[in-house]
Amino acid sequence: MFNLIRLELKKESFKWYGIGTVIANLLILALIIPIQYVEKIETDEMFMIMGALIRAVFIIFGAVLLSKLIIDEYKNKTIFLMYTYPIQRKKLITAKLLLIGILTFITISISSALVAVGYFIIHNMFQISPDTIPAQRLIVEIVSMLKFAIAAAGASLIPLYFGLRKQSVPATLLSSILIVTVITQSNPWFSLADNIYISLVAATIGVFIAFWTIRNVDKVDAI
Amino acid sequence: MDIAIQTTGLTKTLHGNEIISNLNMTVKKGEIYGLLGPNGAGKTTLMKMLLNLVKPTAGEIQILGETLTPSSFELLKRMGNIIEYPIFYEKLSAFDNLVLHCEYMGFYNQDAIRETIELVGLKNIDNKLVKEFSLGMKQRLGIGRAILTRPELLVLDEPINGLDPAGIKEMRNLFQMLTKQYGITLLISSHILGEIEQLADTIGIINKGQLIKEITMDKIREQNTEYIELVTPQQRKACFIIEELNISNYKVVDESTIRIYDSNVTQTAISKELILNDIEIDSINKKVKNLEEYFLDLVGEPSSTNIRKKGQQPVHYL
Repeated sequence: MFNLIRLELKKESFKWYGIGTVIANLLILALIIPIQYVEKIETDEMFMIMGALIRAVFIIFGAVLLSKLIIDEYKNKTIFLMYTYPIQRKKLITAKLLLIGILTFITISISSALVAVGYFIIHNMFQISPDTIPAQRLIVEIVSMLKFAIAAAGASLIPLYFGLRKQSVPATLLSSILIVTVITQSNPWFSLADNIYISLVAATIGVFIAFWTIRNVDKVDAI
Repeated sequence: MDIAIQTTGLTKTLHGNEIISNLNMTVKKGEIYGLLGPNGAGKTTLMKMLLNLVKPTAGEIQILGETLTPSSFELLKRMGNIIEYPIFYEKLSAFDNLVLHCEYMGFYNQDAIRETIELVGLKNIDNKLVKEFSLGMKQRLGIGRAILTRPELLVLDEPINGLDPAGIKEMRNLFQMLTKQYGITLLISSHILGEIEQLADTIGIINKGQLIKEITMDKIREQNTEYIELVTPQQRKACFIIEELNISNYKVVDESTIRIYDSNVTQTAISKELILNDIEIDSINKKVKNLEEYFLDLVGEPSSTNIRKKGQQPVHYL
């Protein structure tokens, strides 16, 4: 399995993912500080906004990965080539989905930690709000964001269902944006973004879709 | 004799249409089997079924002594293929594509890659992306990839599409070398009947999903009668002369063409008689019914040497 994941990394260039991650994190950081400054939001809520933004961005990145690694292989018919190799189809697809899930989880975790630390440093240096953030608080927030990262990695697989039906990249990306707007929505009365259960439900659906795809892959004709 | 591929009662139904119906095919080990058929006859579907890309609705496939099941995959290690057109990871170089192929096939011999690139006549392409290749080059690379691991069975769908005449000849030699030197069995489909005629040991003709004939090339050559074809503007007069020569077994094909099947009279005797009677002769020559005519007879299209199949070179008999 490890070898199959290694080969996936060889087939597709992941440079854009690395560069995109750095740019996205800088933009998020650059965005949230003025938000707090202008809107006078409490630091509690700031961590939630940060986490939600990061998850939103990387679930969409995950959909791009799905498009490149799975949908495009179907569209370019290179998947037929893969299926004529002496490797179980289930394993091929599992390797791809594992790679996407793991990559999304790792990127969300690292990004959350980096952005939170960045925010922590800037906040305490320039006193953006009247509160002070103790270092302990920072660690608690990062751990909580990691929980959401696991859930987001699962949810990032949901677009696979919509993408595979028509083998369409737009459908994959669009469905990921819809998912993001649902699970990261927040307003003063009711908020899904800081509700771990909603995120876990989405993650379960994503994992279920992944299993369903893997289970079906042997039965389907590759035409 | 050992059998490489055997299908029994193979049937595939898709959206209510029978694409392959009750097809029984036998390919012997070490031979070159040419699969012929008009567009949409089911050649590609059949080949996809042999590679387990498409699962049969009914019937059984035996390949290299093993029965194919919907989840078989080990067997694919012993097969090489090109289906429809060669598919590559276009953003990678030719060399990287072959390395990837080796990795997935579980074949570790880097020297074989260079050797194969040379064998299919691709030079100085190492760092060029496949995206920049012409169709002919892709086809060569596809053939190279299929034979790279020296599989026991090659399934090649239209492998000479897009190749230039020199390339076609090179590939023909390569295929013959592969069967002779390595004992590889080849299943080749093509529109170019002349090519199959020169290459195949056995041909299978498939039409509307059914295998309507499976026959060795030797038998076809044996069966096909010779005749003399005479082209003259004065067809009626010529017929009269022919009758006078005591030939009754002849056929008027069109306004200027006569075919004489009688083997007792020589070509020289006929032309001499015609010239003596002042009959203009545009051409007169001996002909053997070729694979094209045999094929068109079976498939039920009008048999005429003037009809060219898609992509085929014009046939000259002079």
